[in-house]
Amino acid sequence: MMRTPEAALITDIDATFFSLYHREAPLVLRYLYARVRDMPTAEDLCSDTFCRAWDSWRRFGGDDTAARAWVMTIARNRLADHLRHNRRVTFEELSESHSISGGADEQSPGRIDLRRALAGLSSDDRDLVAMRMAGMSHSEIATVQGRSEDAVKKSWQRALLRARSVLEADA
Amino acid sequence: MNDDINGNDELQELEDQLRAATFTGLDPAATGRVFGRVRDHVQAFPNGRGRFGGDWNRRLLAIAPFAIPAAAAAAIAVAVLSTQPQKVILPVPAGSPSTLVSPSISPSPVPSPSPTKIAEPLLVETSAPTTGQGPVTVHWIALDGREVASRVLPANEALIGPGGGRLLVYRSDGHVLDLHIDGTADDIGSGMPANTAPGQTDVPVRTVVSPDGNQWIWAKMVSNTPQGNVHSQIWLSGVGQTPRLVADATEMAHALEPHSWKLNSPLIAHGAIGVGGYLLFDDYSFGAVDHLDLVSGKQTPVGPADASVVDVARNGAVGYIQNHMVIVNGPGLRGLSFALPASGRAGGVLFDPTSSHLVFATSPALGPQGEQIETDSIDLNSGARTAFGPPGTKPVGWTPDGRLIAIRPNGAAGGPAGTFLISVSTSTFAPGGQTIAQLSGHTQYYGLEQPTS
Repeated sequence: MMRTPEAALITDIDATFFSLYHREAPLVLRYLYARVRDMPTAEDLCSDTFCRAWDSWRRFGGDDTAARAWVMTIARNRLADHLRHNRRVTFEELSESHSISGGADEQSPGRIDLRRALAGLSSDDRDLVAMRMAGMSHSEIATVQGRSEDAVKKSWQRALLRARSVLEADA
Repeated sequence: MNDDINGNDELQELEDQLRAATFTGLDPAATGRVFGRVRDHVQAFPNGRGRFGGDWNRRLLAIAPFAIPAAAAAAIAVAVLSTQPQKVILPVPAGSPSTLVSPSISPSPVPSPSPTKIAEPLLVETSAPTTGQGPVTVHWIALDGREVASRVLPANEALIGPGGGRLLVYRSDGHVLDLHIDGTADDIGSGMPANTAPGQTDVPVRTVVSPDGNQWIWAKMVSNTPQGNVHSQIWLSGVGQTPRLVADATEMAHALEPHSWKLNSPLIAHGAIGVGGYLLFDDYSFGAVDHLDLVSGKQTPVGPADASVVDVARNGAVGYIQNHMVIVNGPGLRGLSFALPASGRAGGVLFDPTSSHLVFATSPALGPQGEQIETDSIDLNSGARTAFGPPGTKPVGWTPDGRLIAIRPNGAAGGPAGTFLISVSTSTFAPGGQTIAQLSGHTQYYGLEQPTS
């Protein structure tokens, strides 16, 4: 549908922000969902993230790469607030129905017990793994976490080795 | 993710497995639901700083359902929103500046006294000869099924609909009448397009009436070029008022038209031109729906541009149909979505007076004869979806005390055509759990005329 420019209700600054939303929201939502494993909560946090981003949008002056790091930083802060106020939403308290996934049959030897695989990780490592699963590169995570890319890669390696050892022990 | 550590193929594979295990079955509509909230925030706070900071909407949602009555919550929401900066978007078309809205003009005229008042809420329906030719009869039906009165309209009159304690009738010379139950009528306005077509007249343009019956809006098609550029307008008039232009747009293959008017401001649609065929549900907008602020002319979208049927609850929640889904968004909601049948046909999307349920009808679109219509309710607190009510009926309205009015159209499967009253509550929103009464055999429902003090 076409509208006259007067009726569009969209300014340039709106448009660039909505462009940011459409580019980054899937990643942010995946990250938040990977952390809280509850879609309504993830949607709430994602909504808050972008509402806060909009409140500061006029003061943001970075490029697309910086925008991803910026909005992910907001998302992590919102998540941290949420976890502080609602400690029950953690990986450790996933229901059984959430621990089985991958489309495999419940008795399939190939299925992954996410709860078991990730329970032994530190909060920082869980955060790192969640960002990776959401689709971020090591360098992007390094920017968000304020660490070097090498440090992020090493942490990622250790986290997955730990997760694998848990899964192998179960097997 | 193309910078993984070399030689860590096994770890990469494990990460891929974790990713698949995490995101399989993720609802693809989730980002769309979130976008609705973000867009609302952007439009409410165009300068980027909300009254409560970034958490304004969550604070409202958090307190409204629990700490204060719904009506008070809605009032607070309106008060908060009304303090925000507004973007005035009404264009000023050349040659007609005097007809545009002005903030100095009050949108609420003083109603004229009505000589005849009704004592109870009455359904207003019409009937006509099955041939489609001949006089139209207006019926006033009480909620216990009694026909309180009926009047045959003259050939030069057509029913617009009720609003508050008025029943508005269009006269072919462009005048608007308030028809009383005793058959008398007051001439309360003029300036609508005249209709010179022979035979029983129709209202020549889509018109909706304000909830108090004191105002009405209609659409006017100004021009339609061979290239499909449609210039259309929305006009407002009221009791004793001169009509004035309140919206004006030129769009490709779409035209402005009134959609509904249940709250303070009406909804208008940017309806597609040329839609035809088997239209089972006549409340389709076939285009984006906007709130129209009658003072500023500001149009605020209430759903996505490709939404079709839209309703707005008293608490501000929005329900609409998009991509074979019924979608409901806040306040107090996290975004609910419900699949439609493969036909995608649905209508009658209505929030109840307490904003706790949404009802809508679906159909497999089998055809005018034997059509199978089902009405579903959504409990907006739990998200539960329940089929209910008599088979073959579609929702058309609510009584003030929260009973659903539904119509079974002619030819629909499930029983005789007519108007039904369905008593519903949280505990009885299920088949067999509600009181069902057939009020009439009419199928042309216009709304409720209600007593006024």
